[in-house]
Amino acid sequence: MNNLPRRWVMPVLGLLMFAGLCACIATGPGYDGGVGVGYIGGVYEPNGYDYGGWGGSYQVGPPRGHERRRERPPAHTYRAAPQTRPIPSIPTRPGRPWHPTPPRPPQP
Amino acid sequence: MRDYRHHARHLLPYGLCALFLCATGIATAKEAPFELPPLVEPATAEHHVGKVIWLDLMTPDLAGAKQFYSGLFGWTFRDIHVGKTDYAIAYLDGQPVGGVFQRPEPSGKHRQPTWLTFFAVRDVDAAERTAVKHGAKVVFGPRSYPQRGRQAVFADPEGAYFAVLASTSGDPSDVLALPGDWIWSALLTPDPDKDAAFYQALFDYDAFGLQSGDGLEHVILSSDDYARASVNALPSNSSRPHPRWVNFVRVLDTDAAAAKAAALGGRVLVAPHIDRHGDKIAVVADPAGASFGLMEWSDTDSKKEPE
Repeated sequence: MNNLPRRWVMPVLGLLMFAGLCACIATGPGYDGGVGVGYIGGVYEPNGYDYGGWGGSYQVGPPRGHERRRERPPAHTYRAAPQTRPIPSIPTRPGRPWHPTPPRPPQP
Repeated sequence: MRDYRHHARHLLPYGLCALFLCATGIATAKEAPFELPPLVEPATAEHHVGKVIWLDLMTPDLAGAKQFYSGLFGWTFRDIHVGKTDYAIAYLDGQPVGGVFQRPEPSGKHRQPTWLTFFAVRDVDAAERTAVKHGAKVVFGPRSYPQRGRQAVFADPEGAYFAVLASTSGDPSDVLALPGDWIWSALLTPDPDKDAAFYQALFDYDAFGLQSGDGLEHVILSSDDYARASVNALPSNSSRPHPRWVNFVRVLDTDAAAAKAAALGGRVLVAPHIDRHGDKIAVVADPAGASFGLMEWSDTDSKKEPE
C-alpha cells in the first residue's frame, strides 16, 4: 500500500504534460485562442463620427477612364504617375455568369 | 486470487491513464482549430498586390447581420462555431464574399461595428516592416491560417484600420464585380496626400491626382493598370472627422437598394447621388451601425454629369 503513490507519479506527470500539450493544440492557431481574438476588439471603430458633407461635387468612386488629370500637379508626398498616363478604371471584363439568390423578404 | 488482485492494482493507474488519453484525444479532435476556407477555389496562381480581396465584419449581432445582408444582397451564410467564436462566411452565388464575426461590445464602451478591409500582399511580414517604417501601427501581428494564408491588421498613419492578406490559394481574378459583390473601396482621411504616399509605399500603387469640383484632394490608386481604391479628403464640414475605409457593394439600383436597407432596419448615411463614374452611389449602415457603400456600375460607358 505504501508504494502506491510512487506508482502513480509517472502516469500523473505524463497526464499533466499531455493535457498541457492538448490545451496548446486546441487554442493555438484559431481566432478563438489567445491573441487570436485580439484584433477583433481592436478594430471596432469609435462611435459617433458622421458622414455629412457628401454633396454632389464630393466624389469618391472609381473613374471610367477618361477623367482629366491635374493641369499643374503641386508637389505631393506620393509619387504621381506621369501626366501622360490616363487614369485607369476598375476591371470590367465579365466574370462568371450570375445566378442571384432571391433575397429574403424583410422580417417583421 | 491474491495474484490477480495484485496485478489489477498494479495496472489500475495505467488503465486510467489510457482512458484519460482516449477521452482527451476525442475532445481535442472535436475542438478542431478554427479554419478559414480558402479565398479562391479552385486555387489559382493569380496575385494582385493592392487589390481588396476580403472583408470581415465585426458586429455584436451576428444573427441580425445575416438577416440584413441576406435580405439586401441575397447572401447566404455558412456558420463556423469554435469555442467562444461565432463566425459566418457570407456567400454570393456560391462564392465567398466576406466573413462576419459575432463580437460583443466591450463593457462600458459603445464602439461602432465595422467592416475590415483586406488588401492582397505577397509577403505579410515584409508588409508589416514596410507599414511600420512608414508610420503604421500594428493592431494584430502576422498570423497564419492553413487554408486561408497569412494576415495582419494595421492602423495607417492617420488611424484608419486595414488588413493585409497573403492568400495561399491565390487572389480573385480581375473581373467586373457581380451585383451583390464588393466593387470599390474609398479611404476618407484628413491627409490624402500623406495616406496616398503610405499606401503607395506599401502596395507599390500608381497614384493619380484628380480634378474635383469640391476643391478637396482626391487620389486614385491603381495596380496592374486597374483602379483599386480612392483616397479622399474628409468633407470639410464633418463634425467628427475620423479616418476610415468605406467599401462599396455593386447594386443594380442604388435608390432601391438604399430604400431596402432602411426597410431592413439600416440607415441611409449618404443619400444616393451621381458620382464621377456617372452612376449613383450611397452610404448606408446596417442595423448594428456598420457602414458600407452601395454603387451602381452600368456596363455601358454613358457618363452622366454629377448633379
